[in-house]
This record gives sequence, structure tokens and C-alpha cells, in this order.
Amino acid sequence: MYKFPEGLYSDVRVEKVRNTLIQYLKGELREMRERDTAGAFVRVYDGQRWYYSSITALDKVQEELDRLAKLAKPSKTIAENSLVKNMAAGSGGQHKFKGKDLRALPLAEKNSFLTAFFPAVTAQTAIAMWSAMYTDTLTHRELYNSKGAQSVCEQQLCGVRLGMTFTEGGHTFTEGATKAGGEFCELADFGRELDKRIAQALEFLRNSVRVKPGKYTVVLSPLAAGVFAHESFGHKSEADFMLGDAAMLKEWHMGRQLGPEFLHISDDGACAGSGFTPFDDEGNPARKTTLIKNGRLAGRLHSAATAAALDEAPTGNARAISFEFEPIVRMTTTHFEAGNIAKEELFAGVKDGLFIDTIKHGSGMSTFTIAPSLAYFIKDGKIAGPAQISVISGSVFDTFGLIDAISDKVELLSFVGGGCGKMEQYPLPVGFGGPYVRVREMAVL
Amino acid sequence: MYACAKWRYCENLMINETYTLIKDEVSVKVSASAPESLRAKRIKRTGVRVYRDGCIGISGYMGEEGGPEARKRAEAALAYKISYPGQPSANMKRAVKFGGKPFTPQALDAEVAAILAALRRDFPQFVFSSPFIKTGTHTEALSNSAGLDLLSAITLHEFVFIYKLASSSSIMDGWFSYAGPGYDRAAFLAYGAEVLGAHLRTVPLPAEGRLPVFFDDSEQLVKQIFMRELGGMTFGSGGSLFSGKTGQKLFNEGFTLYNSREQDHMPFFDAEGVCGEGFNYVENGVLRAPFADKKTAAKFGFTPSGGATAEYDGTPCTSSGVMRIKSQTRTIKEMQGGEPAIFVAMASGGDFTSEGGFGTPAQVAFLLKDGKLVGRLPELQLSSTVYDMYGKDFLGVSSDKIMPLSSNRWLGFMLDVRKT
Repeated sequence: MYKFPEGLYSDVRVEKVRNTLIQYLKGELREMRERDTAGAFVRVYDGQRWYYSSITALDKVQEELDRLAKLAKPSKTIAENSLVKNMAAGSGGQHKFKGKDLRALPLAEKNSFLTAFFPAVTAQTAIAMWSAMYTDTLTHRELYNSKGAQSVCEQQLCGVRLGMTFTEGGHTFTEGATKAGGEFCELADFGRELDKRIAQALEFLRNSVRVKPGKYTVVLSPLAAGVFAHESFGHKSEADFMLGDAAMLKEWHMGRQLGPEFLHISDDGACAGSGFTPFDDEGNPARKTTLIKNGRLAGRLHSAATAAALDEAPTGNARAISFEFEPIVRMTTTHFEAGNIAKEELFAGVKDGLFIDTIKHGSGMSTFTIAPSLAYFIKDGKIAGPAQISVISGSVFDTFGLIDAISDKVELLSFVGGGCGKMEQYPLPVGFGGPYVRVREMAVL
Repeated sequence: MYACAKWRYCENLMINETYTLIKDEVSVKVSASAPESLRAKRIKRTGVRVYRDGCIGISGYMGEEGGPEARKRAEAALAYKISYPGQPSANMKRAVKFGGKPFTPQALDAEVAAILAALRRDFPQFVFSSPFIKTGTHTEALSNSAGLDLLSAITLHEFVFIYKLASSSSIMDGWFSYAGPGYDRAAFLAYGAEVLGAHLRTVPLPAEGRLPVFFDDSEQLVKQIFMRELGGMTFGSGGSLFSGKTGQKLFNEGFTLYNSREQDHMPFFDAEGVCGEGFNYVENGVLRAPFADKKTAAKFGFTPSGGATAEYDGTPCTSSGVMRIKSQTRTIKEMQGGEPAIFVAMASGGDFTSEGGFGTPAQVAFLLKDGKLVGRLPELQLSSTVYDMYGKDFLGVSSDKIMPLSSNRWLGFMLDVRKT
């Protein structure tokens, strides 16, 4: 299909996307559109440097390949380069979407689906402001490279989200409800979740009390635990942060004990939902990567380049948010594995602590943070009223060692309307979730 | 502040509008203190809008071709009845080209190599990386059949260097950056040297408790409550912490918060053609107005704030855009008055509660004496409330800049400070 230049590794990623977006603000239609876009990301590698170009004119891809090749320095031994060896070869990678294609569903039906949830919101006088969104995206990616790889990968994600601002007696509180999945039918029970969330938010609005800053035993819900795993540890598992960094490699050596024996964390691109990545943007297939096993460091996430640099195997985690960007090491669906204690038992072990149910956002660097939304006091093992918290934070090194219980059931979650950000690439759809996780001595503001 | 002219139009007359966004950039990525890649990008997006009978229809396309089809789709989209009660901007022609020439790919490559050589030589203790060092021109144009013809072409250079001590096991220990129309290698390296030098000198926190804490005034973390609570729809609907308080003196006399889009190198017009530079949200402590697009402004009787944003093929909507706090006449040295203070270089993940409580970790903080970074502090926890921070504990924004190249200044508060 393309004439790849001699003496270089090169690849072309062609991306075609159909996106639907319907948005309402306080019941008034603000956006209703179907968008088709197409573009290509072209890469050339000469064994030393990468040369990239992002274009929308698909008939100019060959021209761009040739132009980039002129910037590079061809090498007769490029095929022996360890990075190039890690790139996909052959035409095995095919993943066509086989479910119900939402491109065929009329906008009017999608709109009716969304507006059916409005009465639950308008019935509450305390909801002063609200927004509603339905979105679906079908992404078709083709990858061609100089090793002969020709792969096709299609993914569909749809979802609904309602954001609500509650106000009463001079107090305000903002909360949302969301549900997402690969198929329209996965959104079916959103109404029940919306009703529950509205009831929780009203109770929070009326009864929440500011927490006194300090250190607390904190129980994380599957959502909060998922963000915790993603922010506190997932980003540090991305191997591009370790390149050329002997200190970090030494510190993060395989087998290092980070937490208790019952602590296991994995990343799996094959999990259905918003993190689903059957093939990454270098054509490598998804696999489950165990990052922590029995509390010990067991793996990390790789692109072809980072795997070559660290003499490990690619893990199918080279992802780009769109054709405008190069693939970099990213998570897919990252989560704690199930522990060995029932949820009820986990709560029962807390005399005076906090439960983080939903969150606003999280971040992860030397210190991870989670900004809770719905949170509660725990007294003598029981939920004891809603608690206002600005942020919880801690160091990964310390915090994993403070986990003292993990519940025995895993709940994985999908999302629309946001995603993971890394440097200039935001938002990338990812999935997370997990069991309930109990952590001692967590810093709370 | 400019007041864009309005054009009275017949209810049944259709207005056609074109919104064009062109991103033309070159970037270099750095890994392990060496250049890793060179990327070129030229992406053109065009939105086509039609206005008729108080409604708006929109479509768009990428690249050079697709205008006639997008026009048909936009006209068909009028059937969705997305209301647009405001009038499109009209009868105004202005073009602003800002900034010098962008680097060529070869010149940017050479500049990055020169900076890295200097950093490796002077600070061998650190490993440097960069997600992007960019140069490029962002062109935005809005024109319509009602006589509107606006064009902005801004050329900027963005240099971001992430550093970590070679002996550190963190992903990163900090960063220093610059974004602006000019560039001077010596000035940028001098700023980097001050940050890196201070990072190498570990100093203790003088004391826990209420301390003067300074941020870069472009830091959004400490302003995000205004970005959240001054949204016109929420404010007008009564759902904001500040709803119903327009005209009240809620904050410190020295606190004036305004739309700073031109100062922050954004186009002089927003996605609706409104020019909002200098629009005051808070003036001398008095709450003046929320931010609002034309539709929200019409609904609640607000003034459009000039911060509307839109995807190329999307309906314009309310956005906080960028906001700054008016600077005062005192320098950072005068503000410190000989007392030590804290400068927060990296505070990620903090937030305000719905009631205005504030809390954040400060992952990287320096001790500041007479406006100079003298040493690195341990990780800190900072807390306060919005009414204290911008009320009795507001120290203001300095008259002098943090670094000569940049337009950013020192923004200070008295905060509760604890070691992590």
C-alpha cells in the first residue's frame, strides 16, 4: 500500500472516527452533532531519532513518508535494531467491531434515550443547574509498517453522563452520574444509578460536615480504589519514565516488596469497556500485565521502544489519543485484583475513619492525590454521615505498605466525558475499578 | 476592552459564518537528556455556522476541502432547533498578528541541543526530559456575512524541561518552563539555573502554621474555584457559591480578577467574536459578574464576558477562559518585607470543596528570601478557605515578574502549612 523507505523503520497509522455528541444544559439542547474525521500519523525511525508528521490529507501520506525519510539517516542494520524487532510484523492483527454499530442508530433515538432521564432531575427542586450528555465513538485504525504489518482495529464506546449542582439553604454541592460501555444495551440500567446518586447527593448537601485535616483510616470504593491504583502506581509502571534512569530502575526492581501479600494490581487491554485496546498503536496485541503480585513489583507497561531499552517484552500499551500524536506508554484498564476479606468485614474493622465513595479527580506524581466528592465518616464500622474533604494524598512508597485489607469482589467501571492525561495527550479513554481497599494513616485535607 | 459592534438583522435572514482554526507547529521531545524525536503538524479545522430564526446550525470539516458539504449539513442542522437568542457579532474587521518567526525544524533541533548541552554541563546531577519543546503559529479566524472579519495569528515558543535528580526514584522532581512570543537562551538558562540550584540545597521549613505562600500567578489551582463557581449558567441558576452576591464586597480590596486572554497570548476575540480582554469578574474585592457566552448572558441579563469557547464544529459555550489577578505596585521583595516565604513550584491534585474549603499537597516548594529561591523545602500540605485566601489572607500579585522573559508574577496568600 505504501512504499516504505529503505534503511529505516517506518509506519503509518490511519485513523477514521465517527463521533456523536448530544448535550443539554438545564434541559435546553446545546449540541447535537455527528462528526466524521480522518487523519494519519506517519513515523520514521533511523535507529537514533524519530521523525513524525501528522496530516489530514490521506492522499499525501506517501509524500510525508518520503519527506521524513530525507530528514533521517538510513542504516543498513536497521532490521537488527532491538526496538525495530519489537514492532509488529505480518498481517495478523485484525479486530473488527462485531457488535451493534451505533452509526446506524438514528440521532433521534439517541436523543430520546437521553431525554428519558430528565424527569428524575427536574423533579428535584434542589437541583439548581444540570447538564446531560450522550456520546458514542467508533474508531477505526489501520496500521501499516515497513516490516509488513497490516492491522485493523475498531473500537466502539458509548455513554451517558448527567452533572448536577444541588443547592439548598445556602449550601451547594456538585455531583454526577455516568455509565459507559461498548454497546448501547450496557447503558440500560442507568436510570437506577441516577436515582441513587441524586438521593446520595441530597443527603450530602443537607448533612455534610467538613473533616478536620489529619491522618485517617480510609476505605476506598471500587471507583476510588481504581483511581488510586491508576494514579498512585499505574503511572509509575509506565516504563518511559524509567529510560536512562538508573536510580529509578534500581528503586523499582522486579520483586521489590511494596505492600502486603494480598495486594495484586494488573493492567489489561483486553478488558471490555473504556480501556479496551485489543491492539495498541504500534500493532502489538493487548495482554494482561501483572504489575504487582503478592505485594511485590512484578511487571511494567511498555511500548516497543521502552521494552527494547529495558530488555523486556512489549505489553501492548503504546497508545495515542488521536492521529495528531505519537503513541506513548499508557495504561488501559488498571485495577486492584480481589483480596480475601468480605466488604462488610472490611468496614467493620474501622473504628474512626472515612469512606471515599465518588471522586472529582486524581493525580499522580511523587505524591498521588484524590479529590473526593461523596465521602462519609465511619464510626465503629458503620457509615456515620457525609464528610467534606478537599483532597487525600500520600506517597506511593509509604501508602501501599499501609493497605491492610482488600475486599473479595472486583467491579470494573467505564467512563465517557474525560480520561487520563499525560503530558500533552488528554483525554485518553481508560478503565479502572477494583474491590474496596482499606488504607491506614492516609493524609486528609 | 473592545466592544464588538452588534448588527441588527431581520429575523428571517440567514447569516453564514466561518470559524477557522489552524495549528502549525514543530516540536522536539527530549528523553534521558537527549533529543528523541522531531514532529511536524499542520492541522486545519473549519467550522461552518448558519444562523436563522434565532437558531444556530453547525457543521465542519478538516483539511482544505469540504466547505460546500459542510454548509449543507449546517443548514440541515437548523432542524435541531438549537436556540441562539443572541445576535452574531457583526460589522467589525480587525487582524492581529503577534510574535516573531517560529523556529524552523532544524533551528529548533539545534536550540534544544544547545540548551541540553548547557544543562548537562552545569547540572550533571540531573536527568532532563521534555514532553515537548514547541514553536508554531496558531491562527484563528471568524468571519460572517454580517460584516465580521476577525483574524488572529499568534506565534509562540514553548519550552518545558522536566528535571529529576539522577539519584531520585521519583518520576520527576520538578520542572521549569517558558511560553511566550520572544526567546532568549541566556535568560531561560539563568532561570533554570536558579530553580535547579535551589533544588540542590535542601532547607527545613521554618515553622508549621500560617505562613506567606507564593505561586506563579498563572497557576490555575488557586483560581479554580472562580473558574468553577463563576460559570454563568450555574451562577444565574442559583447553584454557585457566589450566586446572588453580585455587587457585594466578598474579598480583599486589593483583589481584582479579570479576563486576561490577550495577556495570555490567546486570540483577541472569543468563539463568538466578543473581545473580552480586561472584563472584570471581581473588582477591588467586589463581585462584579460571572463569565457568560451570549446565550447565557441573554438568559440572565449578564454581559458577555468574551470567554466563549467552541470546538471548530461545536456550538459556542461559556468558558472561564483565562483569568488573572491584577498586580499591585509592590515588588516581591517589598511584599516579603525581609521575612522568609514559600514558593510553590508544583502543587498537583488539590481542590476546593463545594463550600470553599481549600487543600492541596505542594510536591515541590522552595524557600523564598527577598524574591530569590534559596533552597528546597520538604513536601507540604497547604489549606485555607476561599474567603480567607482572597480576603484577610490575600497578599496580592507582585509588580515584578518571576523571570524576565515571561509575563508571570508572584501571587501570595497566608496559608496553613504543614509538612506531609
